[in-house]
Amino acid sequence: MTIFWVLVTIAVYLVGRKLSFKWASPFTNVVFLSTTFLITLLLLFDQPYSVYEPAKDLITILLGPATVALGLPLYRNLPTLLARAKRALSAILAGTVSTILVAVLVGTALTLTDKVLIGLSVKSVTAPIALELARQLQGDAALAASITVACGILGAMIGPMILTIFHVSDPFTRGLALGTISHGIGTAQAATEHPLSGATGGAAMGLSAIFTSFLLPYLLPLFFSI
Amino acid sequence: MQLLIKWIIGLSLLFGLSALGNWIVATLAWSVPGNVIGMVLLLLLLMTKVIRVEWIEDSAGFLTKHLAFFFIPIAVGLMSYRDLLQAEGIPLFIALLISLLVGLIVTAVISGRRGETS
Repeated sequence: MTIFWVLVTIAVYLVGRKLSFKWASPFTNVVFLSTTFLITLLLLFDQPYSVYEPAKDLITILLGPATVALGLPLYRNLPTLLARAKRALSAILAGTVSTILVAVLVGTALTLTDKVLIGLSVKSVTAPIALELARQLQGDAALAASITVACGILGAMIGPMILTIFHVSDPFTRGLALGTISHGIGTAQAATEHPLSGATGGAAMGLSAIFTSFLLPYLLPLFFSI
Repeated sequence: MQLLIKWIIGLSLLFGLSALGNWIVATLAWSVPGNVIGMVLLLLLLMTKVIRVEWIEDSAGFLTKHLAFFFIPIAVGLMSYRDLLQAEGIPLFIALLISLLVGLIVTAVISGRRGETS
């Protein structure tokens, strides 16, 4: 059954990818389309997530090597990155801190519960890291991973549009912003725009994850007791 | 045949570096993700020419091209939070949306160059 769901996921992904190339729009984002379709399928046949979970465990084994692989575009674009290193570092740091603070502030104002708030605070790092961080912060790890992925999808869907509205066309900056705010999914989206965007996205997602890991234990106690 | 060997070498290196990254993080009790350490290790090994680009370009290129795929199964996990999303989904969405907007703009503005000149 596990192999069946893996194959279904691959098939859904391939179709979703085709559609996203054919009609480029926020709603044809491949992760959004595929996820929506798979959840609908499971609900339709009255299957709980636990039926699908072994397939998830199998597929996500490759997430580690895939993240490591981002080192290659990073290496290829290293001269460009180093030439703008200072600006890029400040931008990633400011983007990481501001998005966490705004998320937790708005979340608090809208009276979200603590476990959702912790999930929100780790949302900008990539899912496997969010799991780990949430666990360290005594939050709900699986929930945090889900919120992180939701943040990634939302960013990949509307991020490029927002950047275009604000006249940000420089591939370096677009990748940086998408990687900082929407980690791997944003980086995947950025990579489809421009190879340089993929590289800066990879660098940004790595650095924002490092910044978040170091800063969060100090930032969170400002908002609620953990 | 040569292609197959290249893939095996490439994937082994990527898996190995990912495992090594996780091991380093666990051993030193760092709160930094192991995958990110693996990514930095790959960068360093490429810079010092210990690993050649040709060894990994096929496998690494394939994995990064399809990076989005690996997040789909995790996203499907959202379905197990139906009750929670019914209760807090809308404020959660608003908080995500506003923080996303602020984060993107702050990053882009500080990064400087916004026009088409990379």
